[in-house]
Amino acid sequence: MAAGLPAEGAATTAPEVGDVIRTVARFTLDDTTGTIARRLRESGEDWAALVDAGGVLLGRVRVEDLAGPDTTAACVMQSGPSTYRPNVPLDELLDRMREKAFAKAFVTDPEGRLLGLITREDIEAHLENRSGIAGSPGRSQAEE
Amino acid sequence: MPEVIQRQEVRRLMARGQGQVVEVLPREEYDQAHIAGAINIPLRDLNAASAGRLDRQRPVIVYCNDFT
Repeated sequence: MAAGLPAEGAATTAPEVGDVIRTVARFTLDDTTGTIARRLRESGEDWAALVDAGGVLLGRVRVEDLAGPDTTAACVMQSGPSTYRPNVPLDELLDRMREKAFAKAFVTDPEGRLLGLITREDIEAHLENRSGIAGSPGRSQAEE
Repeated sequence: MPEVIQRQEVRRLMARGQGQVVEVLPREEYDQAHIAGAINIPLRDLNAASAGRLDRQRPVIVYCNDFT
């Protein structure tokens, strides 16, 4: 399916990653670690995304990567972070997060453009809230 | 003349009511999920008669499954 476009159909009522994406700080490879650290301190975030001019995700910088001397983001970034598409069912991603012990991931479209960040905390809150309102429907479907 | 377009162009055409979106996957998959407003003409059923549902004056956007 063409992820990110509005959808209809029986399977589209199950909650997906796209339902709970949060924004994430974005920087370029040329931004300095000092600038990024300052912004993350102000916002309380601990991850930043590095993107190119077209918004394509290039890498990740965590707050702990910024402790050294001031340099460019390119020097400290971790390239090729795992990404997920917005149409992945939340319950599948939550299972994977529990199994692989990670708590957040970037969300991109199939062209690699950054859409935002998804966190385990947000998924659990969303599913809990949803089950409280209408039971826990869930969906079992192969990941894209 | 066929050309490949990206999602932003699909959005633009749909927003203007200019594009006709066609999913060519089997009916069962269309029923599970499809782009809002898309019609279903399964590839195996695509012929002159089924294509007759389409307005020749407007762009036709065809998609299937990219698995990405």
